[in-house]
Amino acid sequence: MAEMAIFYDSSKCTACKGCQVACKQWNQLPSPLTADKFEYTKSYQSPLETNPDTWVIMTFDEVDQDIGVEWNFMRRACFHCTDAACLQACPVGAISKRDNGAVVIDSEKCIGCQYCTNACPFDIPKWKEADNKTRKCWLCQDRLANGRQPACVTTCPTGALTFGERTEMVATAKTALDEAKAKGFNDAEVYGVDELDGMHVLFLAHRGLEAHGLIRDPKVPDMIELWQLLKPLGGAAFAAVIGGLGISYLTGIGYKREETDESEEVQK
Amino acid sequence: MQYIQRHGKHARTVHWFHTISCISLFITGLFLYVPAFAGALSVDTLQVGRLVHRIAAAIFIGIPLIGILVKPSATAHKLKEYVTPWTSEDKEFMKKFLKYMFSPKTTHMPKQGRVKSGQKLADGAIIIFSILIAISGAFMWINVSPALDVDFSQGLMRSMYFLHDGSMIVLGVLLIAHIFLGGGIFQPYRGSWRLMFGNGKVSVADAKYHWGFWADEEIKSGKNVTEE
Repeated sequence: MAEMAIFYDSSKCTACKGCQVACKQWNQLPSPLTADKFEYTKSYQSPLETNPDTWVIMTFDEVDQDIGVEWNFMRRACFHCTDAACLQACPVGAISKRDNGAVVIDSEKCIGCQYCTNACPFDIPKWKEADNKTRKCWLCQDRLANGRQPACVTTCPTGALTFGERTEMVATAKTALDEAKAKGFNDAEVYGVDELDGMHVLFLAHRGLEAHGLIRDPKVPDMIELWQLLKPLGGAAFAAVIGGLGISYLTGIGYKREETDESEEVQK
Repeated sequence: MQYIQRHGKHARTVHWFHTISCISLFITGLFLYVPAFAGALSVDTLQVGRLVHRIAAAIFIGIPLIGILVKPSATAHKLKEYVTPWTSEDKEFMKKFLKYMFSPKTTHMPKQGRVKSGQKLADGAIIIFSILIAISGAFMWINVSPALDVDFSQGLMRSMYFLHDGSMIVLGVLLIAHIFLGGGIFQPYRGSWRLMFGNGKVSVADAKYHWGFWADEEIKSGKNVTEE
């Protein structure tokens, strides 16, 4: 199966939050039933961060300009990285990469250890106390299996979200970049083509990566990579010590204390 | 036959608790450390393993702390045995140790005090890495405990994961070696398991072989020597 990707074009986004709502609706993610569950933040961004029941949010970065407030929108959800830190950190194999590029958490296998939530350089997976499981966007695998597009893409009214084979989306992103620059957005950049060996959500950040809150040159955290090195190292250390002690045992077979060579005297 | 009391009831009790907790921690920790184990076990088994790991961790951390509180002077006295200056025999012991492990029939080891020089190094490492694994484990436990509602930074938790597994490897290697020697699998140490899992007594012959200087002192004072 070909690798698939979502392409988000910030220059076409009006931050209507249709994608945010469609995701909750399709994936049956409940909203809080209590009043004032989320603190008032004076921002249109709500909630402020993804959570176990909100896998996609629109971020609103407000910048004061001479003519008023300038908004930089961004779609914040799982990036479905090829080199996924969450997948490396999961100790039980609950996170897998599908052939279509999606990084998916299998709830049946998840034990709620939260290693993935701390490994992700984007802080995307979120743990849910109620069922002790970690959750995040799964690129609507059920819809894709039935020839449909992810719910967020389907609902986007402005064409800011498109979906297709990753190679096509990369080409679309590059075309969108040229168009943005031609319109005078000189800081425009494409994100996700090469980052973390290629993401399966690509972006055009028409005012630049930082303006839209994207991390430039993200990496699997060094400590996560070092930590993962400990598994083979530990295995080798245990094998070496057991092997060494096994040889020690074999050389000691037939040992009798009185037969020990005591000719060597201690040199004081 | 003459025996010397090497370990009292207090030390043996602490050792019993630590043995059970260490082995439990090691086995349940391996559930998550070895991907093949985790993949083969059901989620329910893994969750029981995590619970047992935490109970064992509480014992692992709590028992020595209680031991220190109950007998602070004895603990201080024991720790002092580890910070004595190294004698020529201690250095000689370390030089010969590797040869001794692979050729015990032809290697004569020098006399030692109550704590062998090799044991001083191993126990020192065990204490340091036990503290590290306990601290990192506490961070990991607190971080996922809903009741405490604490959210440590990602960077801190990544360091704790590394520290916890790294300490486990060092302690695991030392534990295997400790079982080999202390459990008496290594032929010259045959029967030494009784020191912690039996009545804590060592025959004078064994005491002279392993801890010559200490045996001489004990025989001279006669305080802990019994005839059986």
